[in-house]
Amino acid sequence: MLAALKRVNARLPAEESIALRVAVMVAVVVAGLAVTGEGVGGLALQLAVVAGIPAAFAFSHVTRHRDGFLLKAGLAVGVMIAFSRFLHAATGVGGGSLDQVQIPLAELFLWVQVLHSLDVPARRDLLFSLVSSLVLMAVAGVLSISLTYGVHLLLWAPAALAALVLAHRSELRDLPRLPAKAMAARANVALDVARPVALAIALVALVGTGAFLVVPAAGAARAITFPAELPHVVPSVVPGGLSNPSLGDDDPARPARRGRSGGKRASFGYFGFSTSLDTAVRGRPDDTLVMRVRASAPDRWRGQTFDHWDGHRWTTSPERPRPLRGPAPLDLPIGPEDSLDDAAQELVQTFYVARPGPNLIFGAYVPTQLYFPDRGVFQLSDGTIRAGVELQQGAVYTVVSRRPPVTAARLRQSDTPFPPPPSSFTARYLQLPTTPERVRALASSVTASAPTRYDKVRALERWMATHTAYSLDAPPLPPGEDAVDNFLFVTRKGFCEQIGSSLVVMLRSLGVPARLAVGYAPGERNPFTGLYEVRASDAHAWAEVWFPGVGWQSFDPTAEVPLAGEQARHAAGAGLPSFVAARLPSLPDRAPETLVILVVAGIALAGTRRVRVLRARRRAARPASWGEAWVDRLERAGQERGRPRRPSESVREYVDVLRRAPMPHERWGDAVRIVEWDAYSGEPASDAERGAADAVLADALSSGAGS
Amino acid sequence: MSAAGAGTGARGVPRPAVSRAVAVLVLIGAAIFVIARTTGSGWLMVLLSGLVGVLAVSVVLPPLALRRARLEVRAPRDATAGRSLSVTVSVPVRVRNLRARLVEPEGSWFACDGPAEGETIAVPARRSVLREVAVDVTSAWPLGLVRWRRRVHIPLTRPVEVGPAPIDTEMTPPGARGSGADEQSAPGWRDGDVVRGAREYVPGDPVKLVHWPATARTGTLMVKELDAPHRPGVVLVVDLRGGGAAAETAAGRAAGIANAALAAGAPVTMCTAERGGPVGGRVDSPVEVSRRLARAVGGPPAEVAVAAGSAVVRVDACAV
Repeated sequence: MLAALKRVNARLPAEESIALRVAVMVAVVVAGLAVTGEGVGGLALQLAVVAGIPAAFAFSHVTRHRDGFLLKAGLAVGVMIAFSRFLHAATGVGGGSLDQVQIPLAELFLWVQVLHSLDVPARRDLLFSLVSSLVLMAVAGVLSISLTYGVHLLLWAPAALAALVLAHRSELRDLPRLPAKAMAARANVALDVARPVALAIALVALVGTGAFLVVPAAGAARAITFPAELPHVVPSVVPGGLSNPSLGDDDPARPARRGRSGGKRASFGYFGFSTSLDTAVRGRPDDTLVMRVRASAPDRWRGQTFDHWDGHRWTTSPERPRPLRGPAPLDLPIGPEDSLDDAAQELVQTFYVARPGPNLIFGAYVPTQLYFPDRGVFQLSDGTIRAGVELQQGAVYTVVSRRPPVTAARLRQSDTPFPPPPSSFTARYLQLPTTPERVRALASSVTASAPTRYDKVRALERWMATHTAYSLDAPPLPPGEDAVDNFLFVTRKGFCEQIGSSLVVMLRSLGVPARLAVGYAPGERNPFTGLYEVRASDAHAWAEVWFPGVGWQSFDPTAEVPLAGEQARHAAGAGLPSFVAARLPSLPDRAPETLVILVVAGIALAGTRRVRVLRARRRAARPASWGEAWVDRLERAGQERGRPRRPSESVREYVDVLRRAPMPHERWGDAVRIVEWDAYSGEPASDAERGAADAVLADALSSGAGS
Repeated sequence: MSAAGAGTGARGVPRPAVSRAVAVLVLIGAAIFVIARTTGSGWLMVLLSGLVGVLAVSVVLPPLALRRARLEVRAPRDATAGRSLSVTVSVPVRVRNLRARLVEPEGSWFACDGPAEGETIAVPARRSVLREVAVDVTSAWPLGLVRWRRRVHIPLTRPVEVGPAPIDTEMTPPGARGSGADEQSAPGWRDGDVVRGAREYVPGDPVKLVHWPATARTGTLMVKELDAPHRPGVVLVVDLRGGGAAAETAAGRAAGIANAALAAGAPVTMCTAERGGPVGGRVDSPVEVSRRLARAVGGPPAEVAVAAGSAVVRVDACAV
């Protein structure tokens, strides 16, 4: 083993290629910036990356031939210091979450990389640094939730590929080289590197994109721990109460904030995240990004539910939220009406809050575990969770939900006799005020031929999809009117709150327990980050219908989200074309014509170049004439004797030089005359003349051989 | 370089050789996949896809570069086993970052960017007649991660005759002055002063050869025609039956004896066996000695008439 260690640590020949060193240095610096860009390390580490690594690479290049024992000893001490700092940081992370260790670990790794940059004399050391930069990029990739990482990746990848190409060239430079022929000798060295690098980048991008469209999406398995972070701990005004600062003066917690004005509702504030939801309220949130969700499957991110309907407003039945305390993960009790069996599928969702909003803990139905940095949360009887603190920008929490593998068939089977639910349950979720008879009649007539509860829901959804329209410009609700009646029979235009409410009311009129849930639609999946980007405009209301033996199931006539048991696995790059297309600048009016002109010009350019290449090849392939061969032999002989022909010299001038030394011959003049005649007179020289010229050259070669 | 044998390579089947760097990349890729599947990081899948692209490019491009590679080889006609042989290798096509090495005869690796031409040194391991040259050509272009190798067999238009390395041997040729034994067996040296006839003078003839009596007799300037001097020779009988290292040693010893005899001015007749059968004949130079021994195989050597005074030397592989 000692011998193996010695062999591994044996000093290798120093790498002389500055280009390779620079390429690796760029890759390492970019990877370091990618890591520090994700909040790893402080100013010292950032400075070490930006200035320290280039300086260290320069130092290593200068000292590449030295033994460097003292340097290695110093590096070992540096690594020990960095490791002790890591241990100190790791033992002090808040909440004891393993997830929190990854930041100090990334910091340690980056410091080691900075130190290692001081001692990269050989090619193997440089390649080791390149591999380290790959690992750093992976670390940054784990931490990144935004497209900023893409910028780093776009800089790192060409540098890394260039380093590979240069390392390969450098490896070949160690070998004796076959002398290049004249044409190759003239080749541009920069182009010799740039071409394979460009080709490699293009091909890797092409193949990589193909692979990205095929490889499975990230994040289906269960990890040891999940992210949970709270940058600022601001307790809620009312413990267990709902607060939503983004609603301004309409913040349900505002009365408790004595003397403080809530101000205007934020453009991203959604009026549904409150203690009541008025379907007559208009005005939708804008497209502000409010949170990112890391999940292996889309779902509705449910915030809360409403169970009491008064004809135009939803409220929640008064209750005292149950406090839940404990270390992470916090087990969340499920309600008696929720039904979970072993077949339930686990869905892990990590929420990255991008804008301050309600203190609702969002999550797919049925949430069973919570990773939350604050040890206390509150649970309502419908299973929804409220944080005891305000959720501000930068807050991170993870919800583990267990979703029954619901399919249409299973929902249809749920009508088989089950024990009837408690009367309090039916009273709560079948509650209706005085509802116009025509609403009940419509519900009955639409579902007359539907044999099961599920078919009834689908029939109502289909009817609403056919006879009503989603519109943000629905006319205002006249005073005293029933919102559902007005929507179904008068305007037939509305937004999700009215559509969802109508479905709930009609189902309740048929004796099907239902409630209105509010939260966010899944949002757009970013294929690069793998996160669902939830915008304020994704705030949504939908119906939840209770199925015996299954529990609550969401139905939404306005948004297609497949049932949990019918979701197909998708590739990592699913939705990539549409995602990219949506972010490309819109084409100008004359784009098609411009595109055609560009394509034609490109083809013409490529064709011209191809013709030039083919002509050059044909010229090169053409057998040399006797005169060309004679001159070629002369030039080679002159070169071997230390006097190559200069580009400006004619054959005669060159021969005049050679005849003095090192190839004297008295009949050079005759030979040159024959060669010139053969080349320029239009008539070839006779065989005898050619023979004479050849003889002169052969004589001169043999006489000058010893020179 | 004496005569040259040249040829262009026939294509062999390319074979890949995976570097340690690839193994490391595959391991990192596997780790990235596992971490991505557990943490849900989409960027890791982007990185992983890029790695797949890098590996695919590393695997696919080198054989394409090898397909384009064409080799031409020129080698001298004569070579000696165990000694350097300068072989001219030419890559007439435009191809980058090739690495090549002569395998038979064995040489060291060299790099080339075609078109290129130059000499490389190879060392034939043993006595033989090389009718083709084997060259290993490799390419890991452009990323250097996966190296594909192709063995090319290039037939030579004229074979390279690899003679044995002569083993220095002390040899006193028969009839040499000072060698009593030889003088007994030889009828004596004749120095070429026996006049065989006379002919007309041709410009350039030495004056001392003018045959004055004949000139006087004919009235035309006549010169003497002399008989070539006769010297007792060496008949070298090389029997390589038995083969193996003993045969090589025997061939080397035979070469040493023949060269020593030639150096001493004695004519050498060599009797060997070749693929076509026994061969006997005079050899006039070390090159001829080398060629004859290069072609020699195990078999009964030729039998020749031994001139009076000549010494017969037997070199037998079985007796080595």
